[in-house]
Amino acid sequence: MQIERVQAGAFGPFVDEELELAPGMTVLHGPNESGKSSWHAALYAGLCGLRRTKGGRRKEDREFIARHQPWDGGGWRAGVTLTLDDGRRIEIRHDLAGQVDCRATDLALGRDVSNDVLYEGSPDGAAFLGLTRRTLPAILCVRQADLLGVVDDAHELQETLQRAAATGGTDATAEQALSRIAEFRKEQVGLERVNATKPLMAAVRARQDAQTALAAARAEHDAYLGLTVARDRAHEDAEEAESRHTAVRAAVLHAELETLCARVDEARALAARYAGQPPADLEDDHDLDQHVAAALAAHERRPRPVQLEGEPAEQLESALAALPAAPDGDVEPHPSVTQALRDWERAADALRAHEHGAPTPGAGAPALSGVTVAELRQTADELETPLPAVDPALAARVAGLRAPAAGGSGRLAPVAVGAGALLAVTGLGLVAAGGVAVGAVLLVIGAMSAALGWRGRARPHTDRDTAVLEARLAVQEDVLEQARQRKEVAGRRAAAWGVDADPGQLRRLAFELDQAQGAQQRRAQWDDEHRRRQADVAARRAALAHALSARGWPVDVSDEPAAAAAGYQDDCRARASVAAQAARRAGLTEQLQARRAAEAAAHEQQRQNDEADRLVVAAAQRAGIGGGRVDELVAALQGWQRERTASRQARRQAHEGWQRLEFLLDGRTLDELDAEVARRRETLAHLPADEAVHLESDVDAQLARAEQAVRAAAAHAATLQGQVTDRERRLPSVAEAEEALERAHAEEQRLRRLAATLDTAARLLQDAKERVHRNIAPRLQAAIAPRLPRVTAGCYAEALVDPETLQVKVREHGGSWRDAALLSHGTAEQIYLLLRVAMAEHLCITGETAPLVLDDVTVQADAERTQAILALLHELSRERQVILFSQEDDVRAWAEAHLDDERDRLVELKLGTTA
Amino acid sequence: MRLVLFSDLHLDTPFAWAPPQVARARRQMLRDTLVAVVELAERVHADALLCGGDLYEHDRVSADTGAFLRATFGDAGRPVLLAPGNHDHVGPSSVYVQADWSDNVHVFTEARLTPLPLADGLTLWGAAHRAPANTDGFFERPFRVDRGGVHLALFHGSERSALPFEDEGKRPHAPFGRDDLDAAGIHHAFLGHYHRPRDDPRYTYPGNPAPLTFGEDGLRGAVVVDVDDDGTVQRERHRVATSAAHDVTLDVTGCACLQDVRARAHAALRELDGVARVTVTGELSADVDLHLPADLSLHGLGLGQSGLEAVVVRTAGVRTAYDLEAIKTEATVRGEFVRDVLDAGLDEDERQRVLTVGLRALDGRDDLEVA
Repeated sequence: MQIERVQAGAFGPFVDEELELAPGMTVLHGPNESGKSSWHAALYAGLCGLRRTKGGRRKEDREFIARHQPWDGGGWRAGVTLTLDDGRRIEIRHDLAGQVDCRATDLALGRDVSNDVLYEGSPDGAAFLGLTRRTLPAILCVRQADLLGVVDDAHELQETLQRAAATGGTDATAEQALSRIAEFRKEQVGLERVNATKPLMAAVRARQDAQTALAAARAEHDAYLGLTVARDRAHEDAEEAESRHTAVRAAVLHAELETLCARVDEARALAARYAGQPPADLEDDHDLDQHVAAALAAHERRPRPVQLEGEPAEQLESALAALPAAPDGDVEPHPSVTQALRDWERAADALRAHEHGAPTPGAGAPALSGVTVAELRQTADELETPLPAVDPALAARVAGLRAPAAGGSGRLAPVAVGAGALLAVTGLGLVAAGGVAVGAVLLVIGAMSAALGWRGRARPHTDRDTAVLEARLAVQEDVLEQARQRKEVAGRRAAAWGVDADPGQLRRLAFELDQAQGAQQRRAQWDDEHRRRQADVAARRAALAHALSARGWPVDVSDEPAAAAAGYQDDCRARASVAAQAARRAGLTEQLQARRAAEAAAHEQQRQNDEADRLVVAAAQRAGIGGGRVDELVAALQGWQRERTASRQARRQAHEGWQRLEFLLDGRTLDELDAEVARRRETLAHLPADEAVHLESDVDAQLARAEQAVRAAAAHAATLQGQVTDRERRLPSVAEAEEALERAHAEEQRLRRLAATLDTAARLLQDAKERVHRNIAPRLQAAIAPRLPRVTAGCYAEALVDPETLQVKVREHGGSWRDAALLSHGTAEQIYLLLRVAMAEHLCITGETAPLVLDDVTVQADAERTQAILALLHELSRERQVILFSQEDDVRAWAEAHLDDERDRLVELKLGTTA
Repeated sequence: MRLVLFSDLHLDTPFAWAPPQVARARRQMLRDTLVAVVELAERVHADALLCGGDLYEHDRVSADTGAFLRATFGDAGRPVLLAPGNHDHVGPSSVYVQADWSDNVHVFTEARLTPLPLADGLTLWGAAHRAPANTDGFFERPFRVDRGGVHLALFHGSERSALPFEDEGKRPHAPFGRDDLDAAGIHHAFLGHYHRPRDDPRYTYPGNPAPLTFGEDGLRGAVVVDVDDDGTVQRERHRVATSAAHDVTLDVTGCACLQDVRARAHAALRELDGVARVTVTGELSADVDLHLPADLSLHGLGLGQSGLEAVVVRTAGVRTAYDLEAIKTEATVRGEFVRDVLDAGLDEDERQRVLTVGLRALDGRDDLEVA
C-alpha cells in the first residue's frame, strides 16, 4: 500500500488542504505547532475514520474528537488516496462529524468498496492491510517513545515484540494476560482444598453449612409436626380417659341408684309392716329358760346305769387271804446249772468216743540199728545202677591209631561220631534217670567224641586227632571205673548192716522200717488226746458242782453230778408249784381294787341320776308342769322349750325388721329417699350412657384408677403441648434455610463456572501464544539477519529469536549469543526498527506492503544515531512507503542530502501554516 | 350466590432468588394478599370464601402461619371453604387438622367429593389431597351427584386440556377433564393448581393471587363469582397482590459507558414498585465497566427510596461488543485465541464468557468475571 495524498477538508487547523506523499520516503519537517500532529491525525482519520456507534464514544475517541475537530467549524472531514500493491487506486473519504458520508471508492472502477473494509460501522482503510483502525497505529506507527523505551529498558524490546505478537502492540502481552487470569483465578476463585480460604472453598463451606442447616431445619420441622400429632393423640387419649372416667362414674351412679331404689322399696315395704310403730320389746324369763335348759342338759348328760360283773369284793378278799407265800429258791433250773450239766455230759461223751477209737499196736520194726529208710533206699539204688560201657569202636579206633598205620584217623572219624552220639544219648538217659553226675560226664564225652569224629571225617587224621580220641576213651574208662567203685561201696555198706546186697531186700527193709516208725507216732498222739479229754471231763464236773453249789445245792466230792443235778431240778419243780399259787395274789389284789372302784362308780352314777331327776322335777314344777315320770317330764319340758324358742324368734325378727327399716331410712323419710332417687336420676340423665362399663367388685378402686388415668393423660397432653409451644418459639424457618442453601449453591456454581471459564480461557490463550510465537519467531529472525552486519558495523553476523519468549539474541560468527537489548543504543534502535517492520509484515495478513509512519523517532538520538536511523529508514523505503515526521534540522538536512527526487519528498511545514 | 375464589397462595414458600430480608418480606406479602382477599370478600358481600388448595406449603409451614390462618378466616365474617391441595395436603400434622378452626371454616378432608349445601338447591362438592403426590383424579371412580339443584365443585386438580399451557414440570395432580364434570353433573368447578389463570365455561382457575416468581402473566388474583340459578357463573377478576414482581429487559446495546447502562436501568425501574428482575441483554461495549449485579442493584441504582423492594439481575446472552470477525483475522495471539475459542465447540454462553475473559485480559483489564 502506498498513500498518495491526505485530504483534510476541515480538520483541526486545516481547511480543504492536501498533503502529497512520496512512494518512497517522505520527511515532514517542521517545528512545534507547525501541524505535524494534525497531519499525523488526518492521515490516520483519513485512512481509518472513526468508529460509528449508537451511544457514547470511547474515551480515546472522545479525546481524538476534542483534539482534532475543526478549529473554525465546517464539515469535519478527512480522506486519503492510496494505491494498493495490485495497482488499484482507492479514495477514502470520512465524514468525521456526521459519519454519514463515509465511503471507500475504487477510482478506476468508480465502485464503492466501503463494505469490503467496513469495520465498526464505517470504512476502515486499515482493513486493506488486514488491520483495524484500532491496531493500525500500534503496528504501523513508530513513536518517539517507542524507541526511547527500547533504549531505556533492556526488556522493552522483548516486551514490545510480545505485545505486538499478542495484540498488535495495542494492549497487554499474552504473558501479562495469562498472569492476569491466573491472579484473578487465585484471588477471586481459589482452590478447592480443605485449608483454602479463597472464595470457592468458602462458598463450598457455606453451601455445606447451608445444607446442614437445611437438614436440621427440616428435621426440626418434621419433629415439630410429629410433636403436634403426638400432642393431638395425647389430647384424644385424655378425652378418652375422661370419657371412660365419666362412664365409670355413670355406671357407679347407676348402680348406686339401683341400690337406692331397692332400698327405698324395701323401706317402703317394712314401713307398711310396722305402720310407723316399733315392735314391743322382748320380755324373756331367762332364768327359767336357763333352769329348764340346765335340767334338760343334766338329764341329757346323766350317765348310763352300770352293770357290775364278777365276784364281789368280799369274795375276792377271802381268796386272797387263802393264798400261800411265795417260796425261796429257784423255781426252775438255773441256766448256769443247765449249761454246766450240758458241758459235762458233752465232755464225758467225747472221752468215751476217744477211748473207743484207741489204735491197735503194729508189727515190730526190723532190727537195724542206726539205719535210716533213706540210706536203705539209696544203697538199693546204687546197687541197681548198671555199669557204663566203654565204646568198643572208640577203643578199637584208638588201638588202631596207636598202631603205626597211615590214614587211620580218616577211617576212624565215622566211628568216633557214632560212639560220641551213643555216649551222649546214654548220658542223657542217665540224667533223666537220676544219675546226674555220671550222665553229665557221659553226655560231655559223647558230644566231644561226636564233634571230633565229625571234624575228622573229611580230612586225614592227624596226631592231634589221635590224642583227642585217646582222651575221650580215657574218660569213658574212668567213668566206668567210678561206677564200679560205687557199686562196691554199696555192697560193703549192706554187708555192714547185716543184710544182703540185694536191692529188693533193701527196699523191703526200708518199707518195714518206715511202717513201724509210723505206728509209734500215731499211738503217742492218741495218748496225748486221751489225757486232754480226761482233764476236760474233770473240769466240767467241777464246774457243775460249783454251779449247783451256787444255787444252794451243795455237792459233795463223792456225789454223782448227774444225780445231784436231778435232785436240784426236782426241787425246782416243787417250788415252782408253790410259786404258781402265790403268784395269783397280785391278780386278785388288782381285781379286788377294780371291783372296789367299779362299785364306787356305780354308786356315783346313781347319785347323779338321782340329782338329774331331781332337777327335772324341780324345773317341771317351776315351768308349771306337774306329775308324771321323769322321762315324761323331760318330754314335756322339751316341748315347753320349743314353744319358747319359736316365740322368741318371731319377736326377734320383728325387731330386726324394724332395725332394718331404721337402717334403710338412715334418719330420713321415705319422701326424702324418693327425692334422692329423683335427683340421682336427673344426674344420670346428663351423663353419657353409650359405653358399657363392667363394674368391678371394688368400684372405688376402679373409679380411682379411672381418675388417675384422666390425670395422667391430661398431664401427658399438657407436657406435649408445652413441648409444642417451646418448639414453636424456636422453630427455624425451612423456607429461609432453603433460600440460604439456594444462595450458597448459586454462589458456588457461579465460582465453579467462573473457574471453568478462566481455566478454559487461560488454556486457549496459552496455546494461542505458543503457536503465534512459534510462527513469528523465524520471521523476525529472517528480518534481522540480512541487515545485522550492516547495522552493527559488522560486529554481529547472526541473529536468533527465541520462539518461547521472543527474546532477540545476536552473535559474531562462531561467538557467543548476546541479548540484542544489551547492545548499544544505536544498534538497539536499528534492530528495533527492523523488528517493527518484520512484525508489521507479519501482522498485515493481506500481504499488502504496509507503510511505516514515524513520529520524531530521532529526537533523542545523537547525530550519529540519527544518521544511522535515517539511513535505515531510507533503505526500508525502497520496499515500503516511509513517512517520517520530524522537527529536527538534522533530519531536514539529511533529507535534503539523501532523498531521491523520484521516490522521496521533503515537506516543510511552517508555523501556523499547512503543507 | 356470590362467592370469592382464590387458590395457590403458597404461604411460607421460599423465594430462592431473594436475599433474606426480601424473601421474608415476600412471604409477608403473601399473608397481606390473603388479608386482601378476605377484605375483597367483605367488600363484595360474598356469601362464602373458597380456596382451591395450596393455601400454604406443609413442608415449610410455621406455627405462626397456622395461627394467622385461624385468625384471618375466623374474622372473615362468612363461611370459608377450604379444599386442600398437594402442597397443603391433609394429614395428622397438617394445619387443617391442627388448627382450632372457627365454626365458619369448613375443610374438605376426604379424598373424594363430598357435599356441602350452600343454599337450597345449591350444593358445593369438595375434596382434599391427602398426600403430596399421586392423588388420583376425583372422577376416576364413577361419581355422580346424588341430588337435584345446582352443583359446584371445589378441589385442587389438573384439567387435562390446560396442562400443556402450564410451565414445564407442572405435574398433573388429580387430573380430570371437562367431560368428567359433565358426567358427574357438576355445573362448574372452582379449582387450584394451575398458576396461570384460566376462565373456562365449566371451570375457573384463579391462578396464584400473589406473585411467586417473575414473569407471571395473566390477571392472577381472586375471582368474584356470581352463581346463577341455572348453574352458570359470572366472573370478575380482582388483583389482590399487595406487591408486584416485574420482569424488565434491559438492552445495553450501544451503551458507551456505565452511566449509559445505569440511565437505561433507572428509566426502566424508577416507576415500579415491588420487586423487579432485570434481564440484561444486547451487546455491551468492551469498554463499559459494568459490574453485575452490584451496579444494577437497588442501592447501586440509587432507587432505595423508590417503591421497589429489590432488584434481581440476570444476564441473557449479553455479549461484549468485540468485533470478533475482525479480531479473528489478526495474526496476533489475540486473533489466534479468538479463532481457537470459536472452534473449541463451547456452548454459546461459555464461548462468550471465555472470549470476554481472554480479550479483557489481553486488553489489560482486571474485571475478568462475566455475568
